[in-house]
Amino acid sequence: MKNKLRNLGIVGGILASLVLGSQLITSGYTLQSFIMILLYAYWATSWNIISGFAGSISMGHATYIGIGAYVTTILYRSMELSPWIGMLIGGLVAGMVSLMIGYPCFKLRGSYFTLSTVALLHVLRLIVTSNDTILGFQINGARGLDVPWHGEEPLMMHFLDKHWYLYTILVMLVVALFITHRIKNSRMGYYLTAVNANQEAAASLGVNVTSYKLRAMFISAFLTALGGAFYSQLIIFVDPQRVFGYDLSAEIMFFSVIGGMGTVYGPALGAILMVPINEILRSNFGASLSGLSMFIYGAIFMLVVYFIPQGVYKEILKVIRSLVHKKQPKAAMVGGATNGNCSDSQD
Amino acid sequence: MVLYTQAIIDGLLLGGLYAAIAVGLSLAFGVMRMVNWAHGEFLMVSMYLASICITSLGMNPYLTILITGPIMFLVGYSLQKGVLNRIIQKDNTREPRRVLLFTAGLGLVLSNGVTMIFSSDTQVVATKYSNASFNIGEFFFTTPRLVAFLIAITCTAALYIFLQRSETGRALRATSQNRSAAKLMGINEERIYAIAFGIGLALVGISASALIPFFPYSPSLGLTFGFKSFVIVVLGGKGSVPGALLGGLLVGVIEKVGGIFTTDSYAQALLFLLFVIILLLRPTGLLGKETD
Repeated sequence: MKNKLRNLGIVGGILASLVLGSQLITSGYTLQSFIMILLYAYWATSWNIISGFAGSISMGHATYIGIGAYVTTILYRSMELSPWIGMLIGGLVAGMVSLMIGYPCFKLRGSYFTLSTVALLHVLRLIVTSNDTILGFQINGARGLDVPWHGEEPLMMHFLDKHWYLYTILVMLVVALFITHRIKNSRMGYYLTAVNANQEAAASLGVNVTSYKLRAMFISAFLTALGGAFYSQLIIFVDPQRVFGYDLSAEIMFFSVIGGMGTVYGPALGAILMVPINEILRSNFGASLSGLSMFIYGAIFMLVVYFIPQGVYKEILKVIRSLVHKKQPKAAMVGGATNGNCSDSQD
Repeated sequence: MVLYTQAIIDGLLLGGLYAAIAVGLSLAFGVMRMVNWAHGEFLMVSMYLASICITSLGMNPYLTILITGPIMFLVGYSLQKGVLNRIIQKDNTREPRRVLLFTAGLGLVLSNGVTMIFSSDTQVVATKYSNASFNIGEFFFTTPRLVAFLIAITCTAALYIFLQRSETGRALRATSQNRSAAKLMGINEERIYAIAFGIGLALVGISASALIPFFPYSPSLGLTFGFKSFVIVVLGGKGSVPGALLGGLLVGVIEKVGGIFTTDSYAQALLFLLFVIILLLRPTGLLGKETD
C-alpha cells in the first residue's frame, strides 16, 4: 500500500511538472516532440494490457491505430461528427475487430496469435491502399485522407495552440495508466498473470482463459484506437502506410518491452526513454539516413531482450532500492529483502 | 483454359521456391518450437549477398549458391549456438516467447541496416539468363523460373532424404517428436538445434541465389516472404518437409490463379483467410502431426 501511494505520488509529481514545464516550451517543434513521446507512451501502455499482462504478443497493433484514425476521420469528413465522439466509435470498431481476430486465435498457442496479428495488419493495409472507397466512404487509397481544417475548433479537437494537444494526450495517458493499474490489481489482473505464466495450469484451475484474454484484447484495442484518432487530428492527415504500418507496430512493442512488459509504468517509461532518440536523430540527420532510428531501436531492443528481459523499469527500481539500502545498513538485512520481494510482485 | 493452366504452372514453379524457403522456418518451429521472426529478412540479406557476388565479382548467378548456402548455414549455426540456445535455456517454456521477440528485433535491424547501406529502392540484377524463355505447346516458360524450381525441389528432396536416412536427421526428427525422450537417448539437444537452424538458413541462402536472376529485391522483401512462409508452415504443418512442399505449391497456385480474378492485394487477403480457416479447422496443418 505504501509502495502504491509512493508510486502514485511520483507519477503525479511528474505529470504536474510536465504541465507546468510545458508552458515554458514555445517552439512548435519541441512541443510536437513532447506530444509524440506521450502518444507513444500511451500506445505502449495500451499494448501492454494484452501483450504484457496476458502474454499474447501482438505485432500488429497498428491495425487499431489505423482503424481509430480512419473511422474518426471518415465520420468527421462525411457527417461532421466531432472527433471526440468519433474516436469512441473508432475504439469500439477496433475492439470488435480485435475480438474477431482474438476469438479463433486464443484457443491456440501463442505464436499463432502473433502471426495472425501481423497478417491482419498486412491485409488491412493492402485493402485500404488499393481502394478509393470502402463501404461507400471515400478513403483515397494509398494517397491517404486529409482532415478538413477550419481553424480553431475545440469541439472538433482542433487547436491552434498545440499545448491543448499535449494536455489531451497527457490526460489519455493518465487514464490508460490508471486502467492498467486497476487491471493489474484486480481479479482480472491475477488471472491474466496466471494465464501468462502457464496457460494450461490456469485453465485447469478454472480460469476462463479465452474470456479473460478477449477482455484484455478489447480494452487494449479500444485504447490504442483512441490514440490513433488523436494522432490523425494532431497531424490532420491519415497516411495508410504509416497508421497501418509494421514499423509503427514494432515501435510500440519495442518501447513496451524495453520499459518492462507486464509492469504498469514500464511501457510508458520505455517510450519516454526511446522516442527522444528518434527526435534527436531526425533533427541531426533529417531524412538522409532512413532506417537509422529503427535500426537503433531494434538493436537496443535485442540487447534488452537478451540481457534484461524484465525491462529497464525493474532494473531502475532495483538500483534505487540498493541506493536506499546503502544509506540504512541495518535495514538492509531483513527489511530490504522482504521489501524487495513484495514490490516486485506489485509493480 | 490455357490461361488457368498457365497460371497453375506459374504458381507451381514459384510455389516450389516458396517451399524451399519455408522449410527452414518449419524445421525451427517443429524442432525448437521457436518462431524465427527474421526468416524473411535472412532471405533478403542473402539476395543482397548474391547480388554483390554477381555484380562485383562477376560470378555466374547459380554459382553464388556455393557462397550464399555455406555462409547462411554458418550464420544460422552460430546464431543458434551462440545466442538463441541461451535464450531458450533461460526461457524454458513450450514456445520460447523471447526468441520471437529477439528475432523480431533482429529482422528490423537487418532490413533497416540494408536500407541504410543500399537505400530502400527496388533493384534487379540483369543476368544473361534473366530474359531466356521457351514454349512447350501453348505454354510459356521462363528459364530462370524453371531452374529455380528445379533447384528448390532438389534441395527440399535432399533435406527430406537427409532427415529420413542419416543419423543426424533421425536425431533431429526425434527431438521434434519428443524433446525430453530424445535427450534421455543421449541426443545433444543444443547441437541439433544449431544444425536445424543452419540447414534452414542454408536453404534460404540457396533459394536467394535461385531467385536473384528473375526476382526484384528491396529491403522490405523480407516482410512479404516472411508472411508467406508462415502461411505455408501453418498450411503444411510445422516440422514437416512434405507439408512445407504441399503448402508452398498451394500458396503459389492460389496467388497466381487468384491474381486472374482479383487484384494482387486481394489474392494476399485470400491467403490470410486460408490461414485463419486452417488454424480453426486443422491447427496441426494438412500434413502435421500432434506433438508434445
